[in-house]
Amino acid sequence: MDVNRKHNKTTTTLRLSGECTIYHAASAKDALLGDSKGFDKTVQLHLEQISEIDTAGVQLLLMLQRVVQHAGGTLRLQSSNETVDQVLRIFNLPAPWQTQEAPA
Amino acid sequence: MSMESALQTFYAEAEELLHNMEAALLRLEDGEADSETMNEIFRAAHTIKGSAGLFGLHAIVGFTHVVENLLDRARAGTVIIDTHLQGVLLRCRDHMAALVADVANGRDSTPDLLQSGDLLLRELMAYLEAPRSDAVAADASETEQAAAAAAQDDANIPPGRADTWHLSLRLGPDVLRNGMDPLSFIRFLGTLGEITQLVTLDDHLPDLESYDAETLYLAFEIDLRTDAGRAEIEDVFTFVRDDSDIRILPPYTKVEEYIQLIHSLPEGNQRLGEILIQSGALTRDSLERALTTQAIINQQEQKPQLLGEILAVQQAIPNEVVSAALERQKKSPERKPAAEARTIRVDAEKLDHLINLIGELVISRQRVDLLAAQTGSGPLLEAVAALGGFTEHIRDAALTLRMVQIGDTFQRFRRIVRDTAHELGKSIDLEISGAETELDRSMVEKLTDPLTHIVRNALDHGIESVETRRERGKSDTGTLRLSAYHDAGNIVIEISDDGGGLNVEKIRAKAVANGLIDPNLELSSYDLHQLIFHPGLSTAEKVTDLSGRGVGMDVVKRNIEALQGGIDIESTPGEGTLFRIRLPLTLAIIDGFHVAARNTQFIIPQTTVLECMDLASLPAVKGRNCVNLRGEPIPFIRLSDIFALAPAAFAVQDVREKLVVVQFGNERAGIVVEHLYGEVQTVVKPLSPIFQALKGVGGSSLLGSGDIAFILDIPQLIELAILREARQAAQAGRKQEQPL
Repeated sequence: MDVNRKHNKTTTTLRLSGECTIYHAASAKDALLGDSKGFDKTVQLHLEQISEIDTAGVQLLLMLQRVVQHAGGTLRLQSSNETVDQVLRIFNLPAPWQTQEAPA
Repeated sequence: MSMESALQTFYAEAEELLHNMEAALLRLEDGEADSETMNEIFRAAHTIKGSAGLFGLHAIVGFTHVVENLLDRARAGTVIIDTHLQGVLLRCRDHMAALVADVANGRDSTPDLLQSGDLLLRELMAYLEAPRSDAVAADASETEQAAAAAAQDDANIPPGRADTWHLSLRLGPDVLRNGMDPLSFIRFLGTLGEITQLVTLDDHLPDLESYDAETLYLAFEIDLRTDAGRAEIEDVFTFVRDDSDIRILPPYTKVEEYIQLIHSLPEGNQRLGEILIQSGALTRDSLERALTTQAIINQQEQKPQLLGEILAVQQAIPNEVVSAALERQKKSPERKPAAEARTIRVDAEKLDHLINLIGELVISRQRVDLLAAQTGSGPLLEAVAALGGFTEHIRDAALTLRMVQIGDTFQRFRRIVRDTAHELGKSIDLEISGAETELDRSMVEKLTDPLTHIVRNALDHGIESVETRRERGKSDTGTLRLSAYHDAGNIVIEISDDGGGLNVEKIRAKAVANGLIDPNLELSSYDLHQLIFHPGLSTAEKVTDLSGRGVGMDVVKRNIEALQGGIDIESTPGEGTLFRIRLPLTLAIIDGFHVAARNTQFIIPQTTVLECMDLASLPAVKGRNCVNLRGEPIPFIRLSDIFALAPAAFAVQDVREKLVVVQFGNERAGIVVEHLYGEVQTVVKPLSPIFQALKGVGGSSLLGSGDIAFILDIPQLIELAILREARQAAQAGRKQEQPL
């Protein structure tokens, strides 16, 4: 999984791409959580380029949310795709993870 | 549990389930259509589909799903399983077995197999799409039907949580690392019914420093609305159950039990209480009351604000309904956990390793015995004797570990009997007795082929066609019996039919034609029967003339003999034939009788030894290798002769020859040796393949003294003794006729 970071005055933008699964969990953790710079701002998360996500991946996202909260920032789910949405729906996670469609 | 070992477990379980499924389908065919049988069939398909789903084995899931659907309908009574469908389901089972086997062997299924799977599915679809019987509302959807059925069961149960289970999943931390994904479990639960609520708990996420991305921290509270039973729900978690804390509360669980659940889980009462209220399992009232009375927490006041819009208060379930439901729960069998507690699955290789080690222990112990005897120290001898006793116990206990009941092997023949009978247009019953008789696992495997051969022969040529049976005044339905029992250190397996019996005249004619026997020779019917095992007879051109019985029977006999066993026939014309196979209980370690001839050590299996005596003391039959033992002629052979043993370098003059009388089956013979040493535990080492053609020796063993002893193959030696004696007798006869 790759993480593309962009910082400006008020927001931090994280674009995740590739496989967000157990097979890459350790490296994904380092890529996502290794650098907490800008986590005290509004963190905009883009997931639309995630190709695959599993429980380990979701757990990592929840961890991100927590780290951002601790740093005093706010996490926003900015974009997503059907693959990610399906999984998030199954886990029935609260805001900011709720996606547009109601659970099937 | 790693992925690979979980897969191995899946293969083993699938095999077992398919086996059960086959047995149940055959029972169904026999008219035992009780609900337990239907459930067993359904459960097998269901569990295989579920487990296959967890491993992403789509081919198996796809096929089994349709089978399961049909079985589910059948269970609900909306599809009637007729004779044709029974056949189709049996073939579906075979197809599932083939699919599993392909995965287990890591090969792709052949297009042929997949195509035949499609054909089977088409046949199933025909049943699934067929208009349903009028008794059931014609166009009601499946769930409605199920609900209607449930409502009929107990009309006074209110809707709502009537079929909702609550699951608390605290899966083991290593689940992800081991290749399992809780997501798969949840998705699969969704196929059992409807997940009405799922709450993901992230309370256990640690600090960033101690966060390990491959460890599972999430927990789940799930409400599942389903008709499935507890076993089916539990089965979803088969592969993670060991390291996980999984709690499953059935519908109608009492409030107290929910409260108990709340207390026993680590997330805190408040949080879980909210979840349960939200799911409708508890009402706010009942939760509060329970919590107050138990005086567990004192923060109830904070609650209302947290709940917000999700609160859907339900009526408390009336007491009588609760108790009625509990009653039902008690009745529903929960066999799985109990069965699991009683047995564990052990790798066969580990057992073999254990047996080998115990073999070495037995040898070492004999060495210690010898050394201790040399010291003459009383206490040491005593200790060694005690050690010997335990060694024997351990040996016996270890051997029983490898013992399996023959019943499973017998059950396999139900299918063969069914299919063959169908094919031949005969009606044949299979009767099984002594299914609990145990024998060594390694022998079971080698026994399957010979047994199958005999059974097929009996079905094909033994049992007559219905017309012939009627002419002979027999019942239309023929009977094949498989039975097993223990007899003097042997296991005996009998395969008998009530067919026409062996046609001795035809056998005789054929044997004469092939030059196997002298036309003038009078043979007992026993000897004539034995002829069917002769390779010269069974490879004759027109075997079918001989009621087909000769086909490959020599191979059967060879296979049985390779297991140190023997085979007998009893046959009565018009009444039937019985094959009796006699096998030693185990091949690994035996009680042996240690003898020697010309300084070479031999072991005679103890179970074959009848008695020992001084050869010179017996009245010999002149010029023949035969003694008269209490009126019975016993042919004998000298080990020194048949193995051409060189005389000892410094020959001891007056070695008195001893006769060991041995018996196998109905045959007796004497073996002449020079020294008798007595009983000894013998670890059998098979001969290397180069020596396997060697007649008379079945294996070797290391003695406590470090010497090698040959283990005699008694059935072969008896045969040899009888053969030689018969030849000598014939020669002696000719000499008498033509003096000089």
